[in-house]
Parts: sequence; structure tokens; C-alpha cells
Amino acid sequence: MRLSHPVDDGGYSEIRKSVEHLFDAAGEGPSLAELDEFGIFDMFDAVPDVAVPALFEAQGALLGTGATVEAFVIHGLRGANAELPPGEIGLLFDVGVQTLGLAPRATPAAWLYVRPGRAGAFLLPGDAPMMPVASIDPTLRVVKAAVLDEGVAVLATDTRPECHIYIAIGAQLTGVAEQILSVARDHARIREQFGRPIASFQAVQQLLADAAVATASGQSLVRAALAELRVDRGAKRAVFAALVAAGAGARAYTVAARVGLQVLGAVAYTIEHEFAGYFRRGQLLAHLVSHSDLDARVAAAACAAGVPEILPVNSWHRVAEGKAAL
Amino acid sequence: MNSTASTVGLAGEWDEWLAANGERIADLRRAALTPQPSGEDIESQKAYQAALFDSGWLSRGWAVEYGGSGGDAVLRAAVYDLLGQNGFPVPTTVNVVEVLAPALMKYAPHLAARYLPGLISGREAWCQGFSEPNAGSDLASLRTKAVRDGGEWVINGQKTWSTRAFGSDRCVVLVRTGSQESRHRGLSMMLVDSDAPGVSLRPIDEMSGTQHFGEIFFEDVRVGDDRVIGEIDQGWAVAQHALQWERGMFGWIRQAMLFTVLRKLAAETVIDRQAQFGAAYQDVAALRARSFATIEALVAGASSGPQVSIDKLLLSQAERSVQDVVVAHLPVAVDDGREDWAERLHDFVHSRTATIYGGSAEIQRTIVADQVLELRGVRS
Repeated sequence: MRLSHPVDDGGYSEIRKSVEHLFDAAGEGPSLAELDEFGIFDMFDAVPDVAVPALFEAQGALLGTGATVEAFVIHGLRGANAELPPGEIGLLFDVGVQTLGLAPRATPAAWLYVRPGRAGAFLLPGDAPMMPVASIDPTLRVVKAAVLDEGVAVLATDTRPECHIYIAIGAQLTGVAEQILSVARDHARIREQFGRPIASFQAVQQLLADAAVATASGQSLVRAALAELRVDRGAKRAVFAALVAAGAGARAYTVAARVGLQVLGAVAYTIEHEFAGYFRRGQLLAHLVSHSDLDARVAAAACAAGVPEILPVNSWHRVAEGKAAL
Repeated sequence: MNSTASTVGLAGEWDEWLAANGERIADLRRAALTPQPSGEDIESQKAYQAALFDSGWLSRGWAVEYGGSGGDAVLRAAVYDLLGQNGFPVPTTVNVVEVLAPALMKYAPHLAARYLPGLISGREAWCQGFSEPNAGSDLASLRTKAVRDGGEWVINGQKTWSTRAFGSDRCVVLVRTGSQESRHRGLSMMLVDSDAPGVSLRPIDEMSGTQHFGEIFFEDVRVGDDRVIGEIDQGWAVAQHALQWERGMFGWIRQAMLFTVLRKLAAETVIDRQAQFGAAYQDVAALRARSFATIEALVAGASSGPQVSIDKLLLSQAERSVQDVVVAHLPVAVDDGREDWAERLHDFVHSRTATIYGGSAEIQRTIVADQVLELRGVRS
């Protein structure tokens, strides 16, 4: 199953295969130090357009955990010469009336507080007391924070952390969607009703095609956001493109989850079925990027910026790098 | 020519050119945007296309041997984007050029050398004759026949839903040269002049108030071997090649225009249906990101075909959702006195057909399911 065109993928498959090992091992996934040792920062430097989707789409597809989003955020901050606290960091999200955190494996030295439309800030543990909170996805450690202090702004005018988080979560949601589509497709090929595989029914085929289209959109817009980030037409444009990537990822997940459950049928409602894990992970990730009002936020950001297009003509990466057939 | 060198600085060049030529091109643009009967519409589109070609914009991305100034489809895509993003729609006659010219270059270089200069420059407008009254989604069942007679082919039959057929100068037509049972294996593609004896063109009056589509009738129309595109009985491959370009480049051309539609709406009204606007924006953004990858693949000769059906589905979705959000803010059922009412009315009504033209959404989903998700083998 290949949703993209059969062209040279710039090393995506190879990187994806290698990062999949990171999530294969049971446990809590790679720490920052382990990701560093793996070489993820070098990959982010050298081939961000393929390394970032490969890492996060694999993580979504394998329900991986670990300090991956933190690593991507830190990479972005280093690029902007921001001062960083040493050690593990946690991520804090403003989600409606709540502030939720994703806690790393070890007690974090600091929390990166991401507030939509405002500069990211670092909070020390004392600035924001945390308490564990139950969530739909028990495989992630979610905490609820009471933010007492605004913290130290990472970069006064730069909203990069938000941008990296949107892209990372958009790509993970796309990976979740891709995996649900794959599981549902495999099921449809072997599940027989009325004496034939259900994949032979047009109604089922059309549902799966809808999930494929939504997933392909997610993949495309994650890559467009990365191109925008690299080309750097300003932080506002980059954050906007990243917001669209998060929206596309959430949409891909939503469509794939609806289609997946429908095609898999009641068996997917059982806790034993792998669908449950994908459904739950997607719900939590979509919640962290405030999926319910993403469309309206995209509109507000688009109108404020004069409804710009994403992917600048003069900067298409393949053209710029001379990779297009000229 | 290197696409990098030729796309950098394009926007600045456009601004300069527009400052010097703005008034003249604005008049041609206005005429091209005004809904009008097919014959007049084609003449307006040709004049607009020719002006943009002669001034060096639409000649970019075409080889010098065809009258162009060099470069490839990536450069053409950059120019189309530039025009569309600046509110200058790509002349609709160019849509057909993008579908037919690459097929001609690949399958009939002799015809390309002779006729493409006229087509690319806007001196001629062509149409394509694929669908028939009883062969729409099931294109391989078409019945228009070409029979061998005295060293020539004699065509009889009827085509319909041909975009801008009435008023066109030539037609690329898919005909049956094998038996009816041969389905897609017995089809051939031929180039026919609209003024050839036995050809008649009729516009179809549509509920949008225009005549976008037309019918083509063939009665003992004689065509020489030199007008065959590709091999006899290999017309299906030519059609598939053309449709890839239609679904890829046409989607790209439309995304630029759809961004302009959203931009204009946001500039002229208060967007009070934010979620609907944001969803439509994302539909267009997805179409842009996806169809550019398709153009890259087409230029590299690496598009295998079925993936491009995803683009067509994204196009259908974007066309509808953009017009839906426009109409939600600026209803078109009654003349609201705005200058662009007729244009908006047309665009809304025409957008309803986006899930039908160029291959219905159901057929596209079936292609995705069969060939991308590889479910064809399990059909019983």
C-alpha cells in the first residue's frame, strides 16, 4: 500500500525502518539521550524533510512512546540559539480550560509550556505543580498542571516550539491513521460474509478509499509544513503551516478511525483488539492540539495573514535542491 | 533550462510586467471570467491565452521546438500558480493544453511538432472527445467507430460532455477500432479537425447558465493514418496518460484559483463561519501539497497512475467546500448587486459537478481501492 507516487523517497523508507526499532522494544521508549545516541539530531539536521515524517509516522503507526517530540522541539530551539535547561523536559499544553502535560520517563528538569499564539516558556517544576490525571490512553503519562508562574519565555518573539509540536503530533496522527487503514484493509481482504471477502463489496471499498485520501492529505501537509519551516518565510507562516499539518493529521485520524471501526466491525470495540490502542492514542493526541476547534483556528490564522498559500513556489525543495527532473 | 533558475524571481518579474501591462490584460481577464456562450467564451479565452503567451508567460515550460521558451512542467506549474495566486485565472483553454500536449509529445511527436505551436500559443483551442451518451464512467464500452476504408479511417458516432467542444478548432477523439467485445484493448486515439466534413459540434445549455460542455457528432469523417496518436488499438494507454495530467495539473491550476477565492472572500466579508472556512482552507492546502508532488512525479515520468485518483478526490472536495463557504457568506440565489454576482453564481453551480467531471468520485474511489489499496484481487 503506497499512497504517494512511486518516486525516489529521499531515504524515507530507510530511515523509517531504522527508527521503527526504537519503538519495537517494550518499555517507555527512547529517552532524549538514547535518541541522541541513535543520531536523530544529525538526521534532523541533514534530512529534516524525510527524517521528521519517518520518525513520527512510525511512532504513530507503532503507538511508540519516548522523548521524540521533545527532541524535535529541542532541535528547533537549538537552531534558534535558545538557552535550554539540561536534562529531560516535559511538554505542557493549554487545552481549553485545562493545562495538560506529557511527562517523560524521568522526572523532568523543566517543562516546556506551549501556549497557542504566544512564545513558548520553560517552567521549573515548582512553577507548575503537577498531578497525574486519567486519560483515554493509559500508555501515555498525562498530568494536569496548575500553572502558578508564566515561566521564562524561550524566545520572546518566536513561537517555534508550538510549530514543532504541531508538526510532530500531526505526523503521529497521520501514522495512526495509516496503521488503522492498513489493519482495516487486511481485515477486509480475509473477513468473509455472504460467501466472499467484504473487500469485494463496493461500500467497503469506498469507505477505505476515503480513509486513504484523508491519510494521503495528512502526509502531504506534514511535508508542506516542514518545507515551510525550512524555507523560513517567518515564524508566523511556519506556525500557520504547522497548524494546518496538525489539522490534517487530526482529520486523517478521525476519518480513518470512523472507517476502521466500521470495516473491522464489533470486534474492534473489544479491548483486546489492536484498534483500541490506535483509537485511544489518536483521541488523546488530537485533544492535545485542541482538535475540536482546529478548523476555526486555521481560519482565524489564515484570515489574519491574508489567506496565504503554503509551499512557496520559488522554494519547492526538490526544485531548490535540483532533484526535480529538469 | 534549469527550473530552479527560471522560477526564482518569477514573482518580481510578474509585478514589473503587470505594472506596465495591467490595463490591457485586465480587460482580457474580465472578458475571460464573464460567463458567456461557448463560442464567445472560447474566443475570449484564446485572446487572453495568446496575450499571456506573447508576453512570455505561458510560453515558459514548453520546449523551443513547440514555440515555447524552454523549461519543463515544473516551470509551467510555477507560472500557473503565480497567475492564479494573483487573481489572474489560467485561461480555461490551457486546461486542455495540459491534458493533450504531453500525450501528443509522447505518443505522436510528428503531430506535436506540427500542431502544438498553434495550441500552446492560444491560436487554436482543442477539445477532447472521450465520453459518450452510453459510455461515461464505463468509458471502455464506447461505441464511436473508426473503420478502415481506402487507406484511411472513417469515423461514425457521437461524443458528449466534451469540455468547450463548440467553438474548438480540433478534437482528440477516442474511437473503437477493434470489436465491441475488445473493450479497452480495441480503442485508438485520433486527431480530427472541427471543420472536417462530417463533424458537427453542438453546445449543451447548462444550469450554470453557460455552455461548458458540448456534443460532437461524426458522420463518415475521414482521417488519415498520420492523425493517429499512438498505435492503433493502443488508445487506452494514451487516454490514461492524458487523464493523469488532467488530474494532476488541472488540480494544481485550480488550487491557485481556489486560494484566490478564499482570499477575496476574507477580504470582502467578515468570516463568521470560521470552522467551515478553516475546513475549506485545509481542503485547498491538501490539494496544493498533493498535486505538486504529482507534477513532480509526472515530470520524472514516475507516476504510475492510480495515486493520481487521490488528487482528483481532493480536487472535488476542495471545489465544493470552497464554493459552499462562499455561498454561506455571500448567497447567490438572488442578485445581491455585487459586480461579481454572475461569476459567483456560475462558479457555485459549476462546482456541484466537480465529483462527476474528469472521472466520477465513485470511479476514483474504486481505482484507489483496487489499485492503491490493492483490493482488486479479492473481488469475487
